[in-house]
Amino acid sequence: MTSGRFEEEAAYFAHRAWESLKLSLPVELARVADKLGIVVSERDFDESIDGLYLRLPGAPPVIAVNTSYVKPPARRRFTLAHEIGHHLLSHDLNTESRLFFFDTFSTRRTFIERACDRFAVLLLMPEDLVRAHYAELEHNPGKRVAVMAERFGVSTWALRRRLRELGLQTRPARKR
Amino acid sequence: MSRVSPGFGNLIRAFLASKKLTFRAASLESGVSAAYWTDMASGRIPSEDVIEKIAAAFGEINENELRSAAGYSLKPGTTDPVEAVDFVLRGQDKLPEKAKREILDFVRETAEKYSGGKSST
Repeated sequence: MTSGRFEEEAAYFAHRAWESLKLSLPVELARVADKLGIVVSERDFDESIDGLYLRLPGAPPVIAVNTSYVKPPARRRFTLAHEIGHHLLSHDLNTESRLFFFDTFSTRRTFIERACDRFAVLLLMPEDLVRAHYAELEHNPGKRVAVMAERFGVSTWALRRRLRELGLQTRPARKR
Repeated sequence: MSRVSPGFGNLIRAFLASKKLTFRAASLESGVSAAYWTDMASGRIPSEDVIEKIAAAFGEINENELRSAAGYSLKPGTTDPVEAVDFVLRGQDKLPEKAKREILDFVRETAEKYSGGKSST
């Protein structure tokens, strides 16, 4: 499987989740996971761990998210979305096979990891909604990023990155 | 030419020392020659068959631990999920031991919780 195919699948799954589950902002990740039959567990892991995805034969797929105090809620949400991405992107593997992914600050950024990040970005911040909210807050550029981050349930860092990717300014234009 | 790994040599030496075994004694026990044990203690990577022989001879030595140190993949047919995940984590030098233990605990708990299910590779 090529990296391009993973990225395409990530986009497809994010789009499909929005359509089939009639999602709204901020995305109810627990509902997405539940719909997919994934058991989500919260755990106070070592701070080096963000989360993990585990699939054992005879057991439902399990995601564990690190709820350590050093992981802000927005970070946890991104991790959960990323781990859901692991579940979806490994859909064509035998359901009786054992599967294990874990994510840490030092996890190698393989193309599957990048595709899961992509899925998380597209699920949490769909382009049309980002553009719509960006335009709506046009007259409040000073607080736009903070307000949008709150609405989308993501960190301001992740939101700025998404805005830049879409060619949208992240800072108010200088007054002349 | 054989592959060499200082890590593998360290593992073999530590094992022999813990069991107070000479190369000759290890040879008699395992059926692998003393010269081969000497080479392995210097880091020579044995074939997968030799690793299997050693693990079969010494119950205390974990075959997958040897395979990991030797750079081989998880032993085909390994059904224990904790062992399989442990194998994956062995290669993660940057991950703190505490984190590895916590991950293994989680995998163990999950496997036990759904122990009605069958395991496979």
